Amino acid sequence: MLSRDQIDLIHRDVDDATTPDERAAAQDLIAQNPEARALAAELRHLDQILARDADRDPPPHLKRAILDAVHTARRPGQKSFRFATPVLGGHMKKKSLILIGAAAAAVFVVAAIVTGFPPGSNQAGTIGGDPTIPGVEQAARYRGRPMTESDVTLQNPEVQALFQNDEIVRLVQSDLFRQAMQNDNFRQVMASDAYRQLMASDSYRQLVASDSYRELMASDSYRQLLASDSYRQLMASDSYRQLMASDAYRQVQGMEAYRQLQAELGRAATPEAMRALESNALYRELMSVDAFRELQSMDAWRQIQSMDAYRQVASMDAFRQVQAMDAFRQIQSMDAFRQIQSMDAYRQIASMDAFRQIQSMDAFRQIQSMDAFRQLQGAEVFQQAARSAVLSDALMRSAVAIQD
Amino acid sequence: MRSSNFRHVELYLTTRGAAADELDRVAVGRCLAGQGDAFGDIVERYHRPLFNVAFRMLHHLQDAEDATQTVWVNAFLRLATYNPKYRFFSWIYRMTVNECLNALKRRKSTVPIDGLDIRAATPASDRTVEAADRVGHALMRLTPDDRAVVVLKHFVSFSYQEIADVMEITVKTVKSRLFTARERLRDALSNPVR
Repeated sequence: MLSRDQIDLIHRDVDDATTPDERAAAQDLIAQNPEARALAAELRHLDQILARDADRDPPPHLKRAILDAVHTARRPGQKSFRFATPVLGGHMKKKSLILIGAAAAAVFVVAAIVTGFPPGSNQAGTIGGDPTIPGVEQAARYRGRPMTESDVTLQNPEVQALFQNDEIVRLVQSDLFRQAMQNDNFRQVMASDAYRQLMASDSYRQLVASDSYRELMASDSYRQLLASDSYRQLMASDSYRQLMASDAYRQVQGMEAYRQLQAELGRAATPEAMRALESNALYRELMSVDAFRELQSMDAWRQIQSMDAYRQVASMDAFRQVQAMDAFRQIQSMDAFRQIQSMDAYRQIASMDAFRQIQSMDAFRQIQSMDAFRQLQGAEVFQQAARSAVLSDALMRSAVAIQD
Repeated sequence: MRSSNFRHVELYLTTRGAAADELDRVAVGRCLAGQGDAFGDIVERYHRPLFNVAFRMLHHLQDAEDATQTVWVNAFLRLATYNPKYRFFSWIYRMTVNECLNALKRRKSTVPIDGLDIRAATPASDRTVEAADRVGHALMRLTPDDRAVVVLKHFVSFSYQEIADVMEITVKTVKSRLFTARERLRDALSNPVR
């Protein structure tokens, strides 16, 4: 039979209202005592049932009715009230999610950058794209004239050099690659000027060369996040595209206070932890920033926050884990990262329908994690071949010919 | 309670925290200075959570609307008595809980049936609740005081201390009521009465 103190301890543990020592004691008790275990399980089950009882939207007329009633009830001699309709238009409610939302968008920005777009150009085996890397010459053979099928054969020294890398050959021969190259959107992104500009930027090279980038790319949480349907839906939304293009978002993103607070939000897995943030000067600082308030007032921002997909992403454990990763925070604090975000080329790519559509391709998601793909993307001959289905086919035929 | 974490976070960012307190303090000051749109700001921020507290306390849509509206009118009329050294959200939630408890007392004199709100349980007119849900019915089988503690804990994510402040009782009493209420709630959910 559990004592009153033990029952109290289990309730408080389930309520996240214990000290670390008490929590350890509660966990020991639950582990060792079947009655305690049963009580804890029942309490958690009860909480789950209650949590499924979602908040109701108040009747749409309620706000107006309240304000009318207040207006009518005002005391004699009191100044007349004139309630500003825009204030009551619904945006304040949405403001509630601003911090988490901004954090979510930060994840998406990183995702857009590090999941293969733009690709790295400083990889071994590339034959063009980065004149600053010793031993790798800028391939300019095709500039000034259209590439033809005859250029995409094994007789071309650049193709030969490219296919000296076995991993690249296997990639080009793969069904996944074929699926991607047969996609018009994929080729459109590959062939865009913005993509090429971005690929050539120092900022991008710094980003992909960082340990944080590699760590983030390797994390299961990040992959889970990118693989979720909710994430894909969000990426496909017009609101997301508008948000990415906003100056306000980029300004908030660049604030140290925002990044620090976001990291704390990522760790705040309990209501008590959230409450601990209330004394946080960073939060107050953010709330006083014009760009932050501007972000709150954006239609695109409010629309994203009202999306089920967004809410699902923001509530994912994987999302929280990504936010709490040192690597993620380090990437956000990198000058290179902020510079990429401010690049017109990046914003153009992020706003491309084609870019958003290929993000939902299974084939793309699989090949984007391959080093060989990033190496291939850096090759001029590939960039040119990607401009047309005919040339892409020619490149793939050349790869198959190697095997033959 | 992690399963409802997102709601906790949303509520927290909406109405609590140092910045929210500051927004409240400024809005109240502006309102007392005669700027009516400032009161609109406060209503905007709190009317949804307060309506949901009222709905869960009363399990009746129209009564919840009436209670919410009454709370705001009273808040407006008594705003000058609000002491800014205390947090606004505690003050406004206290008014809401008290209004709901009063409404339940008034209802009890006309609808006596084992603590269960018969109007809420009988969806037959435009004054019915929007859904005769399982959780709502189970909540209505608690005493009003116990129900208030459960609502503030599970649906508003208040700490024991915050509940104590709102209900003007001790933390010990909060825990006692909460633990008892949970036991009854588990029974009610296991043996629903319709």
